[in-house]
Amino acid sequence: MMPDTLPEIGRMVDRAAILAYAAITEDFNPLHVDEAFAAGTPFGKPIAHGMLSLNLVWQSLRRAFGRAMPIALEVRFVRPVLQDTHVIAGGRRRDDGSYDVWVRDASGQDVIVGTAWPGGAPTTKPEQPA
Amino acid sequence: MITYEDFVPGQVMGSQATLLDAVKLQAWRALFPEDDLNGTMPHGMVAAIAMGAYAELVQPRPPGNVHAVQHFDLFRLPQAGETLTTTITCVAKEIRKERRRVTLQMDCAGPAGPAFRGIMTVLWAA
Repeated sequence: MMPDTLPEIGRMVDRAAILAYAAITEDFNPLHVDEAFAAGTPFGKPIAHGMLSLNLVWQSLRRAFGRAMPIALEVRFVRPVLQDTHVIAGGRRRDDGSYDVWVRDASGQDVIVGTAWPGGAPTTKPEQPA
Repeated sequence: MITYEDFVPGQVMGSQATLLDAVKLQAWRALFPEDDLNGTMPHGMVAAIAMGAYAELVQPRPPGNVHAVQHFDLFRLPQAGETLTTTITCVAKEIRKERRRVTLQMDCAGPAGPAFRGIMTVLWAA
């Protein structure tokens, strides 16, 4: 039975999480880790790696479907997640069996949007317009 | 520095091998405690494997790149102790709305066969 919605999962994206993710992925882009540098950008503070927040979508999918393989996911990073932002991931089933997925910030704005295909994507799609 | 002009669609940019060991899994679990699958790689770690290969193989990169789109096809979840080899290929590049778009494919496999494919589109800054 395919659920109509995916379990919602939230977390605080704080400096400790960003630094830990930078160390794991070896991505020390100053936009993410250098508070002084980030203060001079239009964001005013560090932004999190997009894939950090994306992991909440993976967790939500695993709660819904366990370890079933294959599975596919395609997302667009539509808005930066500023340091010290609480984000929530979730999803809703479409008629074709795929799921609209998202990560939203505390104000309810989408920061990541996309599609998940439990059972695998019908075809490998290289990209969609950003 | 790698610029947009340097990318050639169809060109393999290199391969990187990494051991999925207990240290990596523990570091991930420390950040995401729910992702404890008893020695099986959690789904979201595909990002760490893919981006680790990207960081090593596609550099130096210009500052200001933007990760715009990401696609993953997961075929299986690797086990601790597997050496995973990720091969990065440039599959497309185009200028759209005055933005330089580069699409890279990451194919990751271990001794038990293909593990995942990642396809990322980056707005290339230079």
